[in-house]
Amino acid sequence: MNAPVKKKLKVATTSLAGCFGCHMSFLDIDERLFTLLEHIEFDRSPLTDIKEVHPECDIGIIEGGLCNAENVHVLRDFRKNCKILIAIGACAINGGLPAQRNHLPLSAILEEVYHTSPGLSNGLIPNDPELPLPLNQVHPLHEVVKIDYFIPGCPPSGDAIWKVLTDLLAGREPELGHGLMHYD
Amino acid sequence: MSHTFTLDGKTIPFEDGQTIIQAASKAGVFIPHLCYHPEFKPHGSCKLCTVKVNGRQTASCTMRASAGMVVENNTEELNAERRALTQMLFVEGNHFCPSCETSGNCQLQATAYHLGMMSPHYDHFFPSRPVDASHPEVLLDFNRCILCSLCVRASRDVDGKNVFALSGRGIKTHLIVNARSGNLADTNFTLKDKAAQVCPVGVILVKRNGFAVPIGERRYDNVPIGDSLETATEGR
Amino acid sequence: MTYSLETAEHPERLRRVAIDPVSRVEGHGKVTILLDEHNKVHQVRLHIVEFRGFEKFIQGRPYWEVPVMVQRLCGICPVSHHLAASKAMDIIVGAKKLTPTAEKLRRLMHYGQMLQSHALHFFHLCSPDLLFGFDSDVTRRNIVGVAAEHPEIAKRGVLLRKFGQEVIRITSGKRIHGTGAVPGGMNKSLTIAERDELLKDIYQIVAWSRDAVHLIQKVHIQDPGLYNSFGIFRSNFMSIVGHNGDLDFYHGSLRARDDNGKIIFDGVDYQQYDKYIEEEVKPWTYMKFPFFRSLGKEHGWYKVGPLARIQNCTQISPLCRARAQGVRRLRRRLTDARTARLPLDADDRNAARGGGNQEPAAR
Repeated sequence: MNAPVKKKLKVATTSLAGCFGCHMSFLDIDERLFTLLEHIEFDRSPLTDIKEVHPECDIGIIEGGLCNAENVHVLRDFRKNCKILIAIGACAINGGLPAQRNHLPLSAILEEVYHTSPGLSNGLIPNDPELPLPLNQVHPLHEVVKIDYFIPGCPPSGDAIWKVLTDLLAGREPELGHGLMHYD
Repeated sequence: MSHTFTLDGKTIPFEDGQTIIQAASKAGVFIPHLCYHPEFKPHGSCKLCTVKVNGRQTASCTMRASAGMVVENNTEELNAERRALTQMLFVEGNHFCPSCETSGNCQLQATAYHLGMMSPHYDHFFPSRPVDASHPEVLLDFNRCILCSLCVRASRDVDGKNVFALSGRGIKTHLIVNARSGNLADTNFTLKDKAAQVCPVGVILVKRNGFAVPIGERRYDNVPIGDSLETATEGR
Repeated sequence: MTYSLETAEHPERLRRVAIDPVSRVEGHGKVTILLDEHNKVHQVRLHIVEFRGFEKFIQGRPYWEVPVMVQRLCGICPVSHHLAASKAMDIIVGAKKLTPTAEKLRRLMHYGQMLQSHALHFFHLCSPDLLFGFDSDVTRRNIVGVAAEHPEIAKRGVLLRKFGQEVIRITSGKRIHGTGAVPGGMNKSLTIAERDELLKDIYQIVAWSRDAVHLIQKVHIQDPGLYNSFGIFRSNFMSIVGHNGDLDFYHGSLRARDDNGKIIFDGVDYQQYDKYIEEEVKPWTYMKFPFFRSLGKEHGWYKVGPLARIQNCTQISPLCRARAQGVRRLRRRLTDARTARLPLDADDRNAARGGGNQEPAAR
């Protein structure tokens, strides 16, 4: 964090097919958030009400894998607008828990959840045009766009996120040593 | 200079008949590996223990040490290839570490940490591999099998039972249970078998025992693989 | 309780406004609004756009994996899912009663969850609206803006959340998605050092929590007209209540009230929930619509969560009671008096004695 920073770096974040756990872990940097805010500003993020990624965003951080068509659209939009794209967490990196549906036919899952499961007063599979179409399988981000950095973990700890961000801000290649590197 | 070779510039003594990895382990040098286990005949299949001997790549678990060899192990080139092999193992199976009870005790995971694997890099296969929950004491979760064949060797060579086998060829190779039904319950496998103790990943699991050890106290939580050679070579 | 704005008659003739994604909330959503040429609203929908299928893919997995899997439904309230699944697995393995230590540790874990999630909601997500106004500049209307203009408030929010997260880490091994609860108990003990670490800060945390209540009271006084009407709607309520109807975050039976505070059902074993609750599926969202069977889908829907818990219970700890009085008085004004429950209100003098250094709601 020693590099002289004139302009604050714009950081956009989003959660695709994730659980917001990685965003929560970002907040687990605790008071260091205020130090970070001396160097960055948030663009589109669940923490702000900015809905569009700035066309010259410096860093995009994406949590969650791709489970529907809109996830893919948002991912491409981030890639187009962010100079550096970071995949954060198991879901973004390998599909994570939601990818455990991948060995099942999507129609069978929807059928059971919305049609035949006990306790339903009616049965129908949601199909409104406002709902993005689910993909047949959940995919990690790097299968669709180029990802510059990965922060593994479910979620990665606040310390791991802090390490990667401070490495990047200082112009170092991010590295996670033992204790910070986790897949669980 | 007889009965020594150099490993990354360090002089390593060996005894006749020892492989490179055996001599290195004895001297306290870690060579990453998955299918090698000191108690079993080497299999030479995972290729993670590949080193360069006099400039040529070879599996250190099958290559006998000989006097004057110049061996390279911990180089960026070899580690990059080991990392790529590890990434392939991750995408070929279903390795969902977040909900796996072996997480923190898993040799594949610890090795991937050791090699600095930040992503799987390749496209995932997401294969369909149903679990075998037929046995009263042991669950088989084939999703995590890396085909190291340690259970095959343990059951055949130590237990004398031949419960497991690798079937199929090439990318279709998979672990099977030697029973007409294909179910573990229809074998004479027991929890006391050596084969029940050697799985380096989370395939052969004692039922009703998952997550007994809290995060922070698991095998590799505090000591990374390779820092303690006993840890590195004894499976789970 | 009407659905007049759910579906417009001729959506094709209307103009669509979308809030996409909905931000500063806990979850994935999109709001669409359809208006006519006079800007009259004809249809409003909250679409939950994410579908993951946990219900299906946990099937066939070993049962002891389930509490670790399903907490990944939500990284904000993972402990609640972790504990709900663990309690279900307790039943599966026949663990009718946990050891007292295990139950206390699970409760403690959930208190950590309650604290961190409420701190997040109040400070990180809502406070920008409360401090700057709903229509304030979009670049300022977030926790960064709060940190710039009210650094002390932002810092307390961060530290309150941190303490809750530390409680979770100490009881489950990790701040998010730990493994603490296992079928029939816990895998982790609380060491004396860990206990003392938490005790060291607890009274500061209680004091800051009270300050947060004062803050919301101050905000309310500044614009009672707005806050007395914003987001107010009458509804049924449901929550668990503990022994004797006490507020409880971990175990109890189901109690439901109608919008007049009248009991619909009480003392219901949650394992029998499906006898009382049914769910409807609608085509425009992946979220289902639960309702009380006895009242039907038009009238049987209900609120759950913090407000429902407070409205529903018979008593809470004296310290919380003193705070809740204020909220209930406010609610009473808002909802025509009858929604507020009487047992608490009859207890004003006790409430006045509350406060001081009592322990928080821990039991």
